Amino acid sequence: MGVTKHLVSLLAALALPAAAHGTPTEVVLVKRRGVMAYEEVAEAFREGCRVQARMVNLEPTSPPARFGRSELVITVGQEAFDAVRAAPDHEIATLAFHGRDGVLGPPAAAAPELTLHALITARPSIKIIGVVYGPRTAAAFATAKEAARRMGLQLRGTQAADGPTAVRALRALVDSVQALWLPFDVDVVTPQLFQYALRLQIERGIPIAAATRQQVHSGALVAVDFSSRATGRAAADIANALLDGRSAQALSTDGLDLLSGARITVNGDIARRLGADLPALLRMGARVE
Amino acid sequence: MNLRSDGFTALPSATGPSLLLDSHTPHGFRRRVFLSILLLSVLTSTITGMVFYSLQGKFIAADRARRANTLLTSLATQAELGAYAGDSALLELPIRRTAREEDVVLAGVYDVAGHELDGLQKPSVASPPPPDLARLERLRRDPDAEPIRLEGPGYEDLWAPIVTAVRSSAVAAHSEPGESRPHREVVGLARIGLSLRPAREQLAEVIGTVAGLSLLLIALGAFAAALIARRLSGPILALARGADEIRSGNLDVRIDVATKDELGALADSFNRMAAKLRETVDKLASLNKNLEGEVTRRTDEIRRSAEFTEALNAPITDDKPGAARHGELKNLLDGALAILIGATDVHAAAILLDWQEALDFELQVAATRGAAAASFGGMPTRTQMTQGSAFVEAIEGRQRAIIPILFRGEPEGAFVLLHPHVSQSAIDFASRAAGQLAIAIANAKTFDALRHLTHELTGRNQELTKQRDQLSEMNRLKSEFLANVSHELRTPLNAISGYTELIAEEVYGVVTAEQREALSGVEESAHNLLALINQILDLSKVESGKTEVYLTEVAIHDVAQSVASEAQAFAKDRPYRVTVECATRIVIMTDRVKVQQIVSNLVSNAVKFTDKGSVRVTCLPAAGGGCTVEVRDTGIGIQREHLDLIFEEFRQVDGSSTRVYQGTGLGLSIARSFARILGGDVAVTSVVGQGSVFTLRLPAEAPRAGELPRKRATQTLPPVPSAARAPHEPPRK
Repeated sequence: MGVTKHLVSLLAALALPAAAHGTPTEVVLVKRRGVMAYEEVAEAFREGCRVQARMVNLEPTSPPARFGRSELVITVGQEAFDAVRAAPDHEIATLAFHGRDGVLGPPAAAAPELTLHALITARPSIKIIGVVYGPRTAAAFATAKEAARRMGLQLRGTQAADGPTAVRALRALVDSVQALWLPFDVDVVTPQLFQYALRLQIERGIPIAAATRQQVHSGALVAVDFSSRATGRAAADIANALLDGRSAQALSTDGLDLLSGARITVNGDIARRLGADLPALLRMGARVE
Repeated sequence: MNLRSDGFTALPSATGPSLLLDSHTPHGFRRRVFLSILLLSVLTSTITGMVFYSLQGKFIAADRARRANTLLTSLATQAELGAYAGDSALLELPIRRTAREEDVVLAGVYDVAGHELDGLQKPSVASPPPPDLARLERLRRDPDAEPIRLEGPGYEDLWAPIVTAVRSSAVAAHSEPGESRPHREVVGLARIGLSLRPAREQLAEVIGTVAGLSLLLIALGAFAAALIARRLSGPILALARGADEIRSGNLDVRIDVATKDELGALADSFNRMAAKLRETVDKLASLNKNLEGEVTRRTDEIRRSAEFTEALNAPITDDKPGAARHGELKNLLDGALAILIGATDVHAAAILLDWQEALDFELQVAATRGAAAASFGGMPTRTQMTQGSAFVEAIEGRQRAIIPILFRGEPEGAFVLLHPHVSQSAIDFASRAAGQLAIAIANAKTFDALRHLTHELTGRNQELTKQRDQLSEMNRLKSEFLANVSHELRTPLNAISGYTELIAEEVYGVVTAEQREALSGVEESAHNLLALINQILDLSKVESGKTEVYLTEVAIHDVAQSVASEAQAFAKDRPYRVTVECATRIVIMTDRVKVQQIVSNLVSNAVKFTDKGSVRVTCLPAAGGGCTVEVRDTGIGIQREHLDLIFEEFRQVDGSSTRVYQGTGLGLSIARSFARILGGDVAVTSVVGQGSVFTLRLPAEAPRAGELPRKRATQTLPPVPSAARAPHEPPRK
């Protein structure tokens, strides 16, 4: 599975104004209030964007968002993306998420090779890795599966439609895999699935590779992601280009230097409990937290 | 005698015979103590058992509730993922673990729609009833709902919600642990059936334990009751028997209680009391013996004193000549001496008296007994006597005791006792007898003085009786004189007045102005003289108490109006009119003639001393009945010191020969006398220069004078009709 910015869109997405609407002159940033990672993304974006961005904080009971025709809409997080996508004026904000067409933004997840490499570094005996994914991450799974094959690993996945199905799928999958990889898919990786995975990690010693640093803090063995500030700065670069009148189609996020910002986070306690090769992880550049 | 408290057996007594108390003595107190303690023990055991059972029951119920909650919570927690995923495979382990518990007969997990996801039941439960969704509705909606208990056949059917945390997956993925708080949602229902049998077995076990403990406590209580009753009743019965012994007169009884507690202290106190009682009784017997002797001696002494007093109080009659009386006194003294010698047990005794009071103090032998007068030696001096106390001297180998007889501190005489040795008791008796003799002598002297005084009073009474008779005769002569004056003077005066009137009417020829003036003088003089005579007659009747009263209903207003009309004629040369003010009609029961004369005297007196201004008669009802008639003038007034004089007979304030106002000075005196006869009075207030106010008060009904009837009773003097005696009335023809 090659490096792709569309495997998991984690934090930010840029709303591309329709070509017919011309160059945007204003910027609005939409996010859910109260999540530290989102706040860090927003802060880095405002520092990097040459236009003073208008901030919209979503509340659970907020009315549908409305935006002006000349506004470039930046969404942070899945909730903001869903909220803006449901806004009546679709021609203003065409949002990208999970690699859907017409969506522009920095990669939300690191290249799958990094995650797979971290897993086998922690436990070299791992050959079969289980993945439960949803419809929105099916393409990303396919990319990752190919990457695993190139690395001599087997990525065994089950697609699930929702959280309960994902739990049942994981139960069915767990007996035949040596590690689990929880992608960033809000449709299937629910808190219940994550807890079930943690239980399996404890009860059966199956290491878990999660999607975010926060999930490592909650008990997963390892995660590879980008820092919130790097994501915010990358989004600001894209916004500045659009404000300069460049076409969204002409922009390529492949050139965005986020890889240098990717980070490997390891849960030290879990690593010791599972007998993971912590020195090798450290040599790989992982941070033990 | 000793009384044992521990079994009531006999013990040898240190102080007296022993008392045997056998076991057949009534044991009511012991039985009551035993039954009371036993009852208390039974009650305590029963209550304790009930409380213990109740507490155990509550404890078992609470423990069962806690266990049920624990099991339910555990099952709900373990089944969270299975219920969330609807995966029975994930529920198998939690349900199997729960159903493994001994008292759990049923364990299951259901989705929120009530469909069973997985479940197990013991063979004793045939088929669990399906969930009653209506009753479980609250659990299906409220994550915080308390578990529900339902009754199952032989078990408790307990239900609890299975709750999971729900929040955005994205937020969850990007939140640090505890950063964002999810909301909770019910994803299924956990069910366990908890058998009732263990709880029932525990309760049965508790009942058995409680019953056994209660019986044991009751048995121990009965034993303790018997022991306590025996220890309590023994000493008390011994005390009771001891008290009975003391009551029956046996003061040698002793109680032997070996304990050192309150009962032992009580027994010690009882023994000390008995000993003290014995001692007291002995002392009382001794005192009683001495007292009897003393009483006998005192009784004898009192008897002799009484005899002595009786001898002294023998009557001394005054129908004997002086010498005879003197001899009688001597006999009386001789008798007293005989009693004195008998009481004092001396050889001889004498009485010395100061016979001649007019001379200086000099004692003489008044009576002797047992020896001649010369044997009693010389007379004591006044100085020796006034010391008051007896003194003893030696005389011719005997003792002579001289006991002064004093009356009010003054020596009247002395007792002399002769004996080889005069005892103190003899002196004491003689001293008391001396006091009685002093009183007797004083009485005798007083009797003599009284007799002398009586004699003088008899003479004076005779003289006074003679004077009274003379006065009665003079009074009779005065009354007769006044009656004669009434008749002899008024008759010619009426004639003079009548003839003068006829002459003035020129019946006997023409009368010149000068003659008419002279006739007027004659007429007025005759009139005044007639008025004077009438007043003197009235006053005479008042003084002699022969004034008669006629009681009729009298309208005071009419009387006042009549008097005012008459007075107006008298005051025709005055610049005012006599006015009458009566607010209401006042009728009283009185003598009309006398009331009219009283008011007439007051009004004429007012007119006489009032040259200008006004004379006003006011009638007012009195508060307590009756009335007042007020005569107010603006005349010359009366000085304060003369207010009482004006009611005296023949008294006028200005008594000089040059006085301005004429009059006899009888009018006011007669007015007050008549008012008092009618039960009222006349009072006066006055201010010099401003006028006077005479107030006549009359009762609602005048008193009837003794036996006087309403009609005339006795006629001692010919009555003069009031109208004829009115001072201003013109002479009758």
